[in-house]
Amino acid sequence: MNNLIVLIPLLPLLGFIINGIGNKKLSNGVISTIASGAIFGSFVISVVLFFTLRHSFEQAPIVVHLFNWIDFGNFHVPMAFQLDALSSLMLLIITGVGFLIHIFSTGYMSHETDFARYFAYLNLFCFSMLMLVLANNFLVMFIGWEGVGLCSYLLIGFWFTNKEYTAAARKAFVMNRIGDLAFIGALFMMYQNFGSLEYEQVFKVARTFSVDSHTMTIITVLLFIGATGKSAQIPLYTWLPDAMAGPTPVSALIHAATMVTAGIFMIVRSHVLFNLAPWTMDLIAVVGVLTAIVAAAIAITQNDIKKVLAYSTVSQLGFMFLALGLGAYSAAMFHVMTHAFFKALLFLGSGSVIHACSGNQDIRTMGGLKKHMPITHATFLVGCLAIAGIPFFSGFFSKDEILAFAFDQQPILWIVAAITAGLTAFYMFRLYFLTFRGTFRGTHEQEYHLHESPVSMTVPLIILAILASLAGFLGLPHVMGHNILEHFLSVNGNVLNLSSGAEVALMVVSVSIATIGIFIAYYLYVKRSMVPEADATPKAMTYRWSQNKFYVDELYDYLILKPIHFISKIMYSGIELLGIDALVNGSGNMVTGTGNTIKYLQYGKTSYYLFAMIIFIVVILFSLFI
Amino acid sequence: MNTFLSTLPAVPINSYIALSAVLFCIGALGVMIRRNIIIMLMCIELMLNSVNLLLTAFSSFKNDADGQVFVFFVMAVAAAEVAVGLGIIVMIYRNTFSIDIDRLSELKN
Amino acid sequence: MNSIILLSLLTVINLFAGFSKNKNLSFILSFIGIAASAILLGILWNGNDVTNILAPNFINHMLSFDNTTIVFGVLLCVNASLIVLLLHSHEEPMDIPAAEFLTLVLTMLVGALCMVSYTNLTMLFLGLEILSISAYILAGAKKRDYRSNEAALKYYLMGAFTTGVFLFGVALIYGATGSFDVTEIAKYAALPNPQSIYYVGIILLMIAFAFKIAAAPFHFWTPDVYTGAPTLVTALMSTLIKTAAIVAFYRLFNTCFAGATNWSMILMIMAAITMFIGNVTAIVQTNVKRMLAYSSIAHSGYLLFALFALGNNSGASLLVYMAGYTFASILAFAGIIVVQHNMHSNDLNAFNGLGKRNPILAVCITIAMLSLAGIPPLAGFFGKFYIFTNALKADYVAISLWAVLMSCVGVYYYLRIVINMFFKSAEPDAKEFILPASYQIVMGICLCLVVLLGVAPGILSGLI
Repeated sequence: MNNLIVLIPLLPLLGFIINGIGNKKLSNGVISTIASGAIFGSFVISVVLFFTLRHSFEQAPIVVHLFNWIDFGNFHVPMAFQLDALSSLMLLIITGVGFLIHIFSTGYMSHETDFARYFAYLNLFCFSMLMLVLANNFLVMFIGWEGVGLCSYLLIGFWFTNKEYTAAARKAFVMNRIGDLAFIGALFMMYQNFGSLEYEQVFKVARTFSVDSHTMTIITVLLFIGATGKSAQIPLYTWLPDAMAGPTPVSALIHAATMVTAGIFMIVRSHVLFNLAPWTMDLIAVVGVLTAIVAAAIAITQNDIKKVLAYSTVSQLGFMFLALGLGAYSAAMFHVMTHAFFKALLFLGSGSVIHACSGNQDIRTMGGLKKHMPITHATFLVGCLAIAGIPFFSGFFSKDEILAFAFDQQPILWIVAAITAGLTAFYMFRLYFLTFRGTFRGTHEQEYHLHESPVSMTVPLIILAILASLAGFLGLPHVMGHNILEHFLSVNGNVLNLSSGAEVALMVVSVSIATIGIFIAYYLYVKRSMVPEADATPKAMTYRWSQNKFYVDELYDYLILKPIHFISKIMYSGIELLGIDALVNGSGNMVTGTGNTIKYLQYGKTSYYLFAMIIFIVVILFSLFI
Repeated sequence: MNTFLSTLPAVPINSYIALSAVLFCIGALGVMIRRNIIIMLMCIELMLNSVNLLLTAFSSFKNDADGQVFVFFVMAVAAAEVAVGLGIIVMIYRNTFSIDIDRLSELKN
Repeated sequence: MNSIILLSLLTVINLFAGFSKNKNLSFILSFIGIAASAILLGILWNGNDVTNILAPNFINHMLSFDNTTIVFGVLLCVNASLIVLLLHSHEEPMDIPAAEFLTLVLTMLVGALCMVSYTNLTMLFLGLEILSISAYILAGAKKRDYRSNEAALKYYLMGAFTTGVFLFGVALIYGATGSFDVTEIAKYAALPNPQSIYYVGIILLMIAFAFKIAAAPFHFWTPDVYTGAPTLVTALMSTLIKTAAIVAFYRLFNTCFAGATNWSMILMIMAAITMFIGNVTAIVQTNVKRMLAYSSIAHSGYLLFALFALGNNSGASLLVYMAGYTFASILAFAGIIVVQHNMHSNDLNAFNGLGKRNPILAVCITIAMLSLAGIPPLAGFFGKFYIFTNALKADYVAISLWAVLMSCVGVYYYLRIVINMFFKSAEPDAKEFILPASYQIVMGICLCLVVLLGVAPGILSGLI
């Protein structure tokens, strides 16, 4: 039974291999069946395992040992999988949402020529992500970590003939590598200090360290830097908005629901270490909340439907990191889950819209889509309500839990987070109103083409909408009932010490903030039918700053890229050409020259060979007695 | 005959070792110097026989039969080896009409 | 023991099978025989009861089947069966019938199995000769090919000469210790102040083994014989013979001579020279077969590491190294045979544009080359990694650095083929080569194993 775990990552891997090899020979129907079937199989197994084993998680995680991957001297790394509450939750999210997105893709990508490549990458991504969450040691997790990075790169640059898209893919890859470097550093430090990379062993030894010791702080900060790369936090967040160059279902799966939450998963997984490093925790909380508000501030002026969602994702990830920094691990995971549902829903909805508008992504030329696409409209509205935190939709519960933790521990963080929540409600409904309400602002030809998406796209939307509205009840606040998820995860973090009255008051405040945000959006974009002006028109400075993403890309360019370019030019002309090239070519020539000389030792005559052998025998025998 | 057998152990073992070594070296030098493949084969036989002599001598000095048994194995294997060797020589003679070792030096460098 | 008996019987039966009208009969017989002998070896696993000398794993103080032996024996069987499969759809004209070829392969396997399981120098000698004499014949398998003749003669003369050296060594050791049994010899070796003829004996044995595994300065036969022999035989020589010889070498020095230390310096110098000559000469070769011959010499240099830096992990590292080397070599040689058959040349230029013409074949050859060069995550990398780590643990720093440097030189010539395949264009009228079914099977198996052992070397190194 337990060995079924192996099948969970194996099925997508098989799907990848079959679709990768059968690239040109298989028909689209076969390809999508294989790809979706593989991930559906994983989903079914995950569900079965979850329901049969969930009670045994409390005692000990279930470990399935496949083989000794590296086994040398003191360095043992098994290829082993670990199933516990945390990984089973992630499994369900990845395979469930992943399956829906595979289905959606069959409709969305149906006009694509490179159908097989797309699905092969998608399956490879699922495989890597499953490895990441199932790992029972940091090195196997690292395989998955790198694997998802690679797939993200491949899928962002899926349309690789477009220069801009490949640049975006490269940017994502490089940014991720910066984080990965820190992660590797953390692995080295862990092996040096704990003598192992297996979770159990690492945590056991780590518990013997004192709180706030330098080792712990360095390791956790390195891990956190790794997480900022993957999960798009300040300062490494700029790749995520650019990553929208990939196909929209990819944005939904990788850049909203799963991969970007890997950093959060990793920190929750190693929470034992983070609990011992309060300084790092404070850092995480501050970085998280800053990311949340900066990204939200950028999102309010963006006009590209996917860019808005991308910044919203960065902002929501900031919320999750805020939760992590406050020690509210289960709240963070709760938000990961609800966010996976509503953000995947929003992205798929945007995909549906883009599909209908023949690739147009600018919300200034949309509007009035409500009557053309009723299902997309309804589900998108659910997503917006969920992310805005309107009561009883999933986002309300998860965001509220984080806000409550913030208020409990550090009211300043709470104020910033609450403002962010208001901004979130505003920009999401700005997006909604501009897209679906009012009248269509595009050309007549575009309007003629508007249509509701096929069933393969609307069904996933409906399912996700249901999940996005109901998932919140898994994590009810204390005043309303029992928090199932927190109990299930039982991660050893901080607990909430708020009175019931305070909790209710906080809810009222956050709901009213969200309502205000929505109302402003309504007032501006429906009542006054405002449409954002063209890029060229002069605007207020703050607006300009926000629209240009606070010039962070330019800042990085100026501060980091330009100096590096300058140094590398000097390096190239000075050291590379004169020094290294000469050295390399010289040694190469030397070796070849030597080879050309000593090849004549192989003279060709047997007697000569025998002569040489006898000489050497004599020499060796003599050397023995000297 | 009896006197011969009884005087054998009287010859010190080092003399046997020296004799075998000299025979061995003669064989080795022969392989090295001669160009005629058949004579080279015979020189190799000389090397093997010097080993046989040495083994028998040790066997007799140690009062241990293993060495002499080994000699039989060596003889059998040597016979097989020479058979193959002669086969190879015949094959080469058919192609080159020569049994000069230096004619065969196309493979080099 | 049963496996050796079975294979010996099979060699005789196989010759008769050659008379059969059914061309496949001898192939089927050989294949089943090799598989059965592998299984017979396998069932002795963990049956090594040291206290009971009558256990089936000990044969009259002559052979012993401990776990190390069994693993290497099975490796040899797999190696031989892959060669048998390759022969099945071999299109290169061989002047001897397939049944005879197979008989000789089986004989070699018998010899090789004796060499990995001996506990008495008599069995070692017999195994070595059974292996070598068959190899002399196989090297000349193309009777009408001048180069094949030359290869056979060179191999034979030098091999027979080495047999003399080997026997002289055995005789001297016998003279010093009074026994051919390795345990008795080991007892003598542990005594203080052994006789000087004993040392001379060890050195002579060492030289004979250095010749068999193609270590410099006794490597002279290798390039010529590898180039002249039929390619399939070259594949056999560079894998099966090398494995058997290095394991026999390892067994001898691990059990008997571990006490005497002055030979390790000689082996170290030998290893250094071997790596240098092998790698540096390979760079300037344009014939791929000859290049792989020098590469094989270079690999012997790395293998010697396991001997002079003897440690608890030496056996395991030898196993990982030899397994990776064997499968990568067979993969490479299979590719070379296909190219040779279609282009009638072994020149580097015959590989031009293969990446466009036969992408899968080109990828297979590339993987083989990368593994031989020791690029992770392929089997060759972990072989080298284990071996160097062992050496570093035993404080052989300078020689390890030298070996790493030489490996870097090695990458150059391995990648030359890859460059020719992918970055140079072929003649415009080039057609796609057709890969016979058995080649596809063998290359598929080897490819999987090379990748698998690179991903999880622990499954092998954990065995012994």
